[in-house]
Amino acid sequence: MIGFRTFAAGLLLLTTTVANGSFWVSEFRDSASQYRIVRGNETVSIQQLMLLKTGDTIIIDEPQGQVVIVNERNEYLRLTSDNSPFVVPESESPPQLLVNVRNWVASWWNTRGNQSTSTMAAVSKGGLAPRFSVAGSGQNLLLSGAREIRVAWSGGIEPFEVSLLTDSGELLVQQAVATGNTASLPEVLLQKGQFQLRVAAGDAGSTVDLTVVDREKLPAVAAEIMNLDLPEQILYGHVAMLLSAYGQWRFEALQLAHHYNLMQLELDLLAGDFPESAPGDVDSISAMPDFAERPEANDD
Amino acid sequence: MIVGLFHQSHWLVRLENTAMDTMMEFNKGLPRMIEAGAGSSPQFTFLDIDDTSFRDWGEPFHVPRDKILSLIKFAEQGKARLIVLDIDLSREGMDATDDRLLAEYLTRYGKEHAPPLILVRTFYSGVSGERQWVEIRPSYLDEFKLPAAVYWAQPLFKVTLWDGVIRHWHLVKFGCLDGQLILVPATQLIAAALLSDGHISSVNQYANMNSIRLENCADDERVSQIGDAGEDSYVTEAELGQRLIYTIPWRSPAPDLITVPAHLISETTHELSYDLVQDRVVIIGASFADSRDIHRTPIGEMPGALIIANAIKSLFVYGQVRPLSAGALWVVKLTLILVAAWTFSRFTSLIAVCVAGAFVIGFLVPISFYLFKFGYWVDFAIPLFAMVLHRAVAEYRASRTRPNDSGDRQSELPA
Repeated sequence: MIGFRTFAAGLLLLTTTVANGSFWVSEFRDSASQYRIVRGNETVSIQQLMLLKTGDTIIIDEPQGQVVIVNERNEYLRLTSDNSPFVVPESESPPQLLVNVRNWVASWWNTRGNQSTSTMAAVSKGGLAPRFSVAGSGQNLLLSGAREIRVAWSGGIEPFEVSLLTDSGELLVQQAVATGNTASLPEVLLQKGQFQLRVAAGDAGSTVDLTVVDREKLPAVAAEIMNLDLPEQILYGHVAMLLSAYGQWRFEALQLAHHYNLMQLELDLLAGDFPESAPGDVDSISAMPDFAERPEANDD
Repeated sequence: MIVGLFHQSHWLVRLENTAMDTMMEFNKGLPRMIEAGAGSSPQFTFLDIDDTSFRDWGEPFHVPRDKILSLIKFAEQGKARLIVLDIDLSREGMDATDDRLLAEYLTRYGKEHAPPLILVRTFYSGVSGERQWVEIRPSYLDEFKLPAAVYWAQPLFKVTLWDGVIRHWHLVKFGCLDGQLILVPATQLIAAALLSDGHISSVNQYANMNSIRLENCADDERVSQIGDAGEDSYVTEAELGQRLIYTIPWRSPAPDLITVPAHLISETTHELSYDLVQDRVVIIGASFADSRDIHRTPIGEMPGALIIANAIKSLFVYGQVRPLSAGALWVVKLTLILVAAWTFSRFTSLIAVCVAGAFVIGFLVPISFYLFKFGYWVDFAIPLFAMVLHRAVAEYRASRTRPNDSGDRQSELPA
């Protein structure tokens, strides 16, 4: 069935060097016009994922230019103007039997003693409940009216489901598939009363209470600021900053910061960077500190 | 020959597994494993959702459907020879619009000579012993009518229980979907049929079986009978033909594989070349750690997508692994028996086993090595074991007869 010559030819193959794979372009920086590839007597333009041939010359004209190429061993080579011109070399010889045997013996030997272990993570990804940022487990006050509610949380696994419900559990608005760690619920008309805000990741979720109140419940200083004749963004920026000093009003501060595009304040709130609050301010709105004593509130 | 009678026993199977695993380890990535076989070996490109891509995409819980769409489009426009999508599409993704766009693209797929596209069906693993791997997970794509260029296949393989290594495949699998029992061919089976352009008749007949609906799936007993026919989850190793020949390693040089990180395609702002996918078998899969799709194989760990690549190459190039013909086997056996008989009659048992062992290693191992690239398996481990066993028997017999010998000698001394 198998002749001696064929058998001998097969054995010869063990030592024959055969062209193995090729180089290819993984990435390059900026515009393709910064690079030239000379192939024989012609210049071809560089393209991402293009195969390179032996003898191709890559020329990088710009000092900040950079080309990443991959060789047949899956090794990444980063070329800059310092390496230019780079001539694509002959492909290395393919894997050979003796190398495989040597590697096999080495891997067997290396599994003895200290090198016989590798690190793995015994962790379940599911079931982690997302937790609200800014809104707390106590009372969270929100002004009444037509509101588009901005929600932020941490933890849990996408996709998330964010819902606003009445106190009796009736669904008002929902974002069924939320990604990332923030979402904006569609605008909804909120009257005075109690509501529930829920974020869920699969079966795991968190709920906080929202208390919708009228403007009369705002701290007196906040009400005074709102009577000032200032551009709207500056006016509400000050109000938001003031409210962020009170645990109960921080969720409202987040809404104002997001609505009026006060990005720094919003980021501070999401990062938990609040102005210092006076003791007891969580329990009572009337325990409002003196506005003048809060330099943080005057910033920005 | 007596050892041969116990060929299917657990410990002999382990011995043979070790021998074949070692043969694959020696042969991995060698050009000789590409240049042999029935058909010209296909070249593979692995569009790999690696850890960098996963992080670039914001570590999503599901592989984003818009990214999948961009990868398929890239392979299609690059005129790949075949595309395999080794990503579970059972559940809808994170964005309903992206789901819809992917579904719409697939329903229109193949109208302009696009390469065949294979999607994978997944199964509920079930409770051990009760309809295990029977229930097919429905896909959100089921409600769409997919064109003829899109095939459903199953990516199921068999893990050897004692060491957790994937060595065998399921070429076909029965499963229940919407109360109907259907037959789902393996990815490599459909791929081999498509790559052969209809020249492998025994494979081709399975290619369209995914559309065959057999009977009602409600009868548990009937389903388990059909599902278990030659499809045991516990591998008895009796089925040499279900064995994959692994030749394409992961993260080691392989002449027939190029691995391209997926983010280079999905996130690029440059014009892309199609050099790396043109006329190649493109497999889209994941290797990032959270995908939980890294498995043990005889040639090391690798992502499921590369197991499929190995399976496609194994079936297409080598066919099903088979032993030598009966006549050739008897010639080999008789030769070994004669050599063993001669050495054990000529030398002491230790020297005899060394000489006979050297003969097996010097004669049988090269033959086995050479024929391996044609899909033939000549076992050399069991003959070696037989030599050692024979020596143990010979030692035992010698120990039984030695006292009598010494007694005879003692009795002769006075004379």
